Amino acid sequence: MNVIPRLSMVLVLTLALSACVTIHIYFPAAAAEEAARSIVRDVLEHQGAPDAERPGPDPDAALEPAWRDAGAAKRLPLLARALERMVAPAAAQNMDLRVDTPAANRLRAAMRERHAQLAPHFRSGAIGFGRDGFVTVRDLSEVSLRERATVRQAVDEENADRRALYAEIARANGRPDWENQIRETFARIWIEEAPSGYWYQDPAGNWQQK
Amino acid sequence: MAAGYSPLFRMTRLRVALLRVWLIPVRPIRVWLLAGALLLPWGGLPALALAADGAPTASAATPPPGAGLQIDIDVGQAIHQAIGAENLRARLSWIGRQPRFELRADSLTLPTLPVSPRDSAAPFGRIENLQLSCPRVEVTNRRIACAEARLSARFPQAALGLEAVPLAFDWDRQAGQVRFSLPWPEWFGGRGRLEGLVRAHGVRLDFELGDLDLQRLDRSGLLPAATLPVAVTAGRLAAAGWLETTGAAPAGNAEVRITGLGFSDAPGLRAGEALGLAGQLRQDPTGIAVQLEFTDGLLFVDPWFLDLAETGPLEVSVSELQPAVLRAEPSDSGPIAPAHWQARAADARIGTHASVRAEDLRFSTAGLEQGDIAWEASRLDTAGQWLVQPVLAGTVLGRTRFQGEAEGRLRLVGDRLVAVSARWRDLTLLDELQRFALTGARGHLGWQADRIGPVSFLTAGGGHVLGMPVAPFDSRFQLDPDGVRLVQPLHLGVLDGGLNVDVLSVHLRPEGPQIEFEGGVQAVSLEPLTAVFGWPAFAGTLSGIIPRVRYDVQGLRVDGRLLVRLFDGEVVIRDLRIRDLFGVAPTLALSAEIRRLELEQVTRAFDFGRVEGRVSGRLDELLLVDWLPERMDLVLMTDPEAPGRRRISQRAVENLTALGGGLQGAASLIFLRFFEDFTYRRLGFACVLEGQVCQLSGVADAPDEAFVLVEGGGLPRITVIGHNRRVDWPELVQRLQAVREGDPPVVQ
Repeated sequence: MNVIPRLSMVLVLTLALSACVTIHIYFPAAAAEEAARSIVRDVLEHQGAPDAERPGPDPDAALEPAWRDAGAAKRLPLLARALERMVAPAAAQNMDLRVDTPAANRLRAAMRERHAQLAPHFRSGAIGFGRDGFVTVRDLSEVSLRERATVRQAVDEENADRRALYAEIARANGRPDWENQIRETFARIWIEEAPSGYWYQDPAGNWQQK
Repeated sequence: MAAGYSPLFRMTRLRVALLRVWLIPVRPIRVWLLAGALLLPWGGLPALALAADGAPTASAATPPPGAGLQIDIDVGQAIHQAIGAENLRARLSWIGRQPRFELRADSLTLPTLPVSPRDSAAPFGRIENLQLSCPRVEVTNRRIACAEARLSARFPQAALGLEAVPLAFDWDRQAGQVRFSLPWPEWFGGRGRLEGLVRAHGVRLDFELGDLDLQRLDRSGLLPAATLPVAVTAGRLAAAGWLETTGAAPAGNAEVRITGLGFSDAPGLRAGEALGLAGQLRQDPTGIAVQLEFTDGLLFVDPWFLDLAETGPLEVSVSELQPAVLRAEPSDSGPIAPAHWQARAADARIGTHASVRAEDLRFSTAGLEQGDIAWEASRLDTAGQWLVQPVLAGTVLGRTRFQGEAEGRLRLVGDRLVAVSARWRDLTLLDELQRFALTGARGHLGWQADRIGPVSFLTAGGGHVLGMPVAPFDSRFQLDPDGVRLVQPLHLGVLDGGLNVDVLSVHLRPEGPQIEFEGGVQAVSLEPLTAVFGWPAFAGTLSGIIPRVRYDVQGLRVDGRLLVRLFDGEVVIRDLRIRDLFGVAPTLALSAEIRRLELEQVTRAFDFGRVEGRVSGRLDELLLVDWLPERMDLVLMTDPEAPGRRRISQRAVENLTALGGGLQGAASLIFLRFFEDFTYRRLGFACVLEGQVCQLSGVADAPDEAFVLVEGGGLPRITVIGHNRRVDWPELVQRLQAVREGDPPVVQ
C-alpha cells in the first residue's frame, strides 16, 4: 500500500522536529550549592585568624563553564543535534559554576576579615543571616549605643561585598541573570553553615537561633 | 424643668429612683445645687442641678438618732454630650448645721483630652469607684465650696488610683465656674500640684509637676509618645504649664525638663541614653509647637550616632504641627492615630556644625512626604563624619572624610523628590583608603525631576585618583532628570598632560548606565607618573584618543587606542575595561601591542645591567585585580626587523640567570667574568600567567622541556636556557625587585 509515503512522512516529521534544537541551560544548582558552601565555610571558619595568604585556586571550584553555545549547536549535523537535544538537559544539570575568580577571592577575603568583627554580634542576636542572602539587623538593643553605628557600618559594608560577590560569580559565569539564583543559593547555605548560636531568618522571615 | 438648662449638656435620663428624706426643721435649701456643684468638676453636672429641681419628692420617715437630714439621690445613668455615668449617687446630710456631702459613682466615662494623638484619652477615659466626700461644705447664695474634700477613684486603663486625695473646690454659681485644686497624687513617683477651672464652655488645668518617672508614665500610655514606636526605659520629667479647652480648639503649654532619658524601639534602631533635654510644648489653634534642646547624652537613630558631649547641643523645633487630613478616614472607633502629620516648619541644629530647616512639611511614620528643606553644614569635617558618612556606608564614599562647608535645598512633593540644589565652598574629600581626594572644591548643582536643571559647576584646587595627581580644574555641567551632561569640554590635568573630555554624559537607564564619551589623553609624561606608583622611573608619554566609552556587565569599556611611547618604542593599548575601580577588587583588563622597545633604556630603567637591541611583542588579556596581574599572555621577542647592535652585558646575563634559576656551575661564572658583554642573535620570553603561575617559554625550545631565553651570536657565544617552565609569579616579582635593589643575585 502506501507504506513508503507514510514512512517518509514520519521521517520528515522526525527530522523537522529534531531540527528545532533548543539548548536548555539550567542553573547548576548542585554546583552552585557546593561552590557557595566552600566560600561560606571559608568566611565563617577563619574567624579572627590573620589572613596571610591569598586564597589560592581551588581545583574543585575552578572548573571552566561547560555549557555549549547555541552557535556551535547549529553547526552540528542533524542527527547529532537530535542527540544533543536528548542529552543537553542532563549535561546541563552537571555543569560547574566558576566561583574562583580573583575578584571573588578578594571579596571573600574581605568578608572573612570582617567576620571576626561581626561574629560576636551574630551570636548575641544583634544581627543575623537574613533569608535574602544578606546580613540583617535583628536587635541592636544589647549593643552599646556607641558601638551601634560601627556595627551598622560593618553590616552595610558586608552587604555591599556580598552583593558584589553574587554579581561577580554570575558575571564570571557569563550569566548575569543568574545573580538572583546565586543569591538565593547563598542565602540557604549561609544559614545551613552558620555556627551554633548564630541567628538567622527562616523562610517565613522569623528569627531563629542555631 | 428647663430653667437654667445649659445647651452644652444633654440629659438623657435622670431617674430619682429612691429618695428617702428624714425631715427635721432646717432652713429650706435647694439640695440639688449641692449635688450639681460637686459633680461639676467632672463635667456634666449643671444638668443634674436643674433637672433635680422639684423632682425629688420627699417622704417622711423615721428620723435616725442624732437627728439631721440625709438625702440620697440615685442618679442612675446620666449622659452628658461626652460623659456617661453609671449608678451615680449623691448623698447630702446635715449634722447639726454643718452640711456634708458624698458622691459615688460606679463608673464615669470622660471625653477626649485636648492633646490626644491617640489613646491618650483612653487611660483616663473611664473612672471607676469614684468617691468624693466633703465633711464641711460651705454654702452661700453665691458659692458652694469645700476646702478639704477627699477624692478616691480608680482609673483601670491606666492602672492608677486615687486614695483619699485632698481636694479643694469652689463653685461660683454666679460666675458659673468651679475652681478646684489638688496635690499631684504621687502617680509615677512625681510630686506637684494641679489646679483647675471648669466653666460651662470649657476647662483649664494648670499643673506644676516634678520628678515624674518617665518609664512608668510611658507604660501608662498617657504620653503622646505612646504613638511613637519607641519605649521609654528611664528618665525623670518636670513639667509646668496649662491645658485649656475654653477656646475654639484645645490649647496648652508646658515647659518641660527631662533628665536621664533612655528610650529604644524594639530592634534598637532608635535609641537614646542618659539624655538631658529641656524645652517647651505648646498647642494652640494653629497646631502643636515643640521646641527642645538636647544638651547631653547619647543618641542613635539608625544609621546616625551622636554623642552630645562631642557634638554640642541638639536643638529641635516644630511649629504648627497637626494631623494632616488627606481623605476622610473612618472615625467610629474614637480618636485614632493620624497616619499623616503636617507642620509649617521644623528646625534641627547640631551645635555649630550643621542645621536643617524644613517648611510646609507632611510626613508619616514611614517618612517624609512633602516639604521644602534647606540644610547647611558649616563644618563638614564633623557634620560629614557624624551625618554623611553613616548614610554612605558600603558605597565608594563610605570612607570619605569631608572638610569645608556646604548648603543646599531639597523639595519633596507627593513622596517624590522634585528638586535638589547644593552649593559648597572649600570642600575637601579625602578617602580614608587613599583611593581618591578632592581639595579646595567650590561649586553648585541643581537638579529637577521634570526638566533639565541650570548649569552647575564644580571647580577644584586639585586632588588625586588612585595616587595620580589631578590638577585644578573647572567643570560646567547640567543635571537632567536621570543623568548628567558636560556642557563645556573639560581638561583634567594629570602631571604635564591630562585627560581631555570633549563630550561626556551619563544617563541611568533600566538596562544600566548609558555613557557618551569623546575625548583623549593628552601626552602625560611617564617618568613622574611611574614615581607616583613607586615603579622604577622610565621616560615616555601616554596619549590617546577615546572615541567611546560603554558600560556593560563587564564594567566600563574604553574604546579606542591609547598610545604609550616609552623606551623609544610604543605600546598600543586596546580593549581597556575597568570594573569596580574603587571597590574591594578593582579590576582592569587590557590588551596591548608592544613595538620596538629599546632594551638599553629598559634595562637602565630597571637597573638590570645593559642590553642593547629592540623587542616587540604583545600583551593579550592582561587582567589586573587589585592592581596585581592575575592573568596575561605576554610575548616579548627581539624584533627581527630592527637594525642595530644586539649586545647583552655580563651583569645582565647574571641577573637574568638569577631570575631564571641560576647558572650551572661555578666555571661558567668565572668564564663569564672575562667578558664585558656578548652579542646575541635573539632573545625573548613569553609568559602565560594564570593565577599565580607563569608558564614560561623562550625564543626557541631546547631539549628536556627547556627553552632558550638568549640565543647567542658570534663569539664568545652565550646561550641562556631556562629549565623551569612553571614559575611562581610572586617569587619572580620578588627576585626582580631584589635585582633592582642591587642585592646580589641569589644563584642556586
